[in-house]
Amino acid sequence: MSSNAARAMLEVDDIHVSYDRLAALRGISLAVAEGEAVCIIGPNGAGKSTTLAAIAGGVTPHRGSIRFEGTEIVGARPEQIARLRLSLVPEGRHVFSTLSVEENLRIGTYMRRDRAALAADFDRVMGYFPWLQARRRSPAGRLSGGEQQMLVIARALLAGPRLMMVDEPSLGLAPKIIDQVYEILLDLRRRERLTLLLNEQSSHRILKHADRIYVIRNGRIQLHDTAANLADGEAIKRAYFGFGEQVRPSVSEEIG
Amino acid sequence: MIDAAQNLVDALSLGSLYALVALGIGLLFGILRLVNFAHGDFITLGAYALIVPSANITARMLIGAWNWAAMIPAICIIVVVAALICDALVFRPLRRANAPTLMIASFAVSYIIQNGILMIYGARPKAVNLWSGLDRQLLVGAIRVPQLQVVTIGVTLFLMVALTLFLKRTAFGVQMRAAAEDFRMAQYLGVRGNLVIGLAFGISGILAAVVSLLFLSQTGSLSDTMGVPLVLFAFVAVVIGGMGSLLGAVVGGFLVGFLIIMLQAYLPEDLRVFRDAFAFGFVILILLARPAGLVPTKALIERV
Repeated sequence: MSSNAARAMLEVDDIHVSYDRLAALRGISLAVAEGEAVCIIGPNGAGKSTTLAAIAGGVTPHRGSIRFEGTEIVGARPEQIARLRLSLVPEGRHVFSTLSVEENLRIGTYMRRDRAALAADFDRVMGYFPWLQARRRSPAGRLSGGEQQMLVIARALLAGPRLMMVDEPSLGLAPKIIDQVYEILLDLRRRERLTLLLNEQSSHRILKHADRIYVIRNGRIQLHDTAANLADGEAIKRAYFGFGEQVRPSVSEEIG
Repeated sequence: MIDAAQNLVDALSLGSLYALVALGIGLLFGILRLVNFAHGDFITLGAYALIVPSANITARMLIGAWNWAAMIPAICIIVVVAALICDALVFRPLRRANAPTLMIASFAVSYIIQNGILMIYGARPKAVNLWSGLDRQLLVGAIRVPQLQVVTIGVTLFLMVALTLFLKRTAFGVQMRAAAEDFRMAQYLGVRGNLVIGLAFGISGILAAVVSLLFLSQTGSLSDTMGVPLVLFAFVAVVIGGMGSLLGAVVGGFLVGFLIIMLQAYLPEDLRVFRDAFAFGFVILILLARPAGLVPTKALIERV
């Protein structure tokens, strides 16, 4: 377990976020060390997406601190945070549908000054997603849902992230495609030492792949442990629903 | 037949002006969700910048006396700077405000510019003779075409091609299109929000400057509200074209120009005073048939 705060790449400390007067996050703290794969699990509306958006600068916490590689980033604009090589793939894909596939891929590269590394990244990403090459001139809006999810991951990778956050990579995708998405993410992690922070609604896939799990509900962390310790799923279920034994065992498997 | 051809040239020429104004409005709306009613006052500002600032009734040319190759860039720079100042002082502090707030702020900017012009230049309209050489008529077959109309149409085509190339072929253009479709996602990918918005204000300033020169050389008269009717018709053009679509803004601009000229030409004489009422009647019919405009955009549907 590597949540040692002194060496963490990303440290989120007691952040509070409200939409109008509605509290979405009521004190979230978490840490991600370099090279780790960490997953936040929680039901719909628990605050998972808000947590990632707060880290990426999309919403501003009214309390608390977020440090990325030692730099305080609360109050920074999203584009400034992206330039620190901290990427977010938000929920719902967000391809630029009127832009071509190639233009979508290029958007994240304009901020990069390391031209040589960028060229290498481009070849590498095309290696992961060879079909992108053939479709590069078509409008991104014409791609299927699975293809769009691949495109936004490829796009985020070309921004050259050191830490990549992916909000519900499996949302609305067929199981076969989800497996493919995870395969690529984990391969990237292994080969490029890409640090990952993911959100998911269901735990059954992520327990295999993540190092550590945070369970979040009602804007608070309910449970935090290594994936190995949570492998049987019982503790997650209790934290996820806020109670234990009344829940049918299959429910958390059906979600997502 | 000759009348019809002549009317068509008139329609193209007036439509060109509306299309340029509509593009300026549409560009800012696409990126900022700002309906900028001060755009017309940017046009007014560009026209007044030609003369010596004074309340005298006769206008003395200042920049207006320069060679066109110096005059056009000078007026463009003045209007672009004015547009960027408006962004910095008014719209930047309102970045998180909603669309109605932005629109009301643009009304405030509009009144401030108009009253600033009244203070410096006085309230009476001034006659200005810009590019009188363009009054000559060109004979194309059997129709006489004022040179100025040819220039207006040509300049409009040139600017539309240039803007298209900029948006499609340059890094800034691609970032602007991305930001227009999904501003937050573009920021997440490192696109600088303020830079893209500044570019949009700058380009709409150039468009306003060009319109101010073309429009002034047609009317020959300066007044503090000269930009208002232009912006009103262009706004209508943007709405029927489809809010958020630049192609729609151009199509809408030409359509409004066409409607106005054709109604002017073919309405019975007694009804001609109601020309604009008929034009807006057509607009209502178009919107009843196509509520999202002629070229609807997905970006708008998602956000509203």
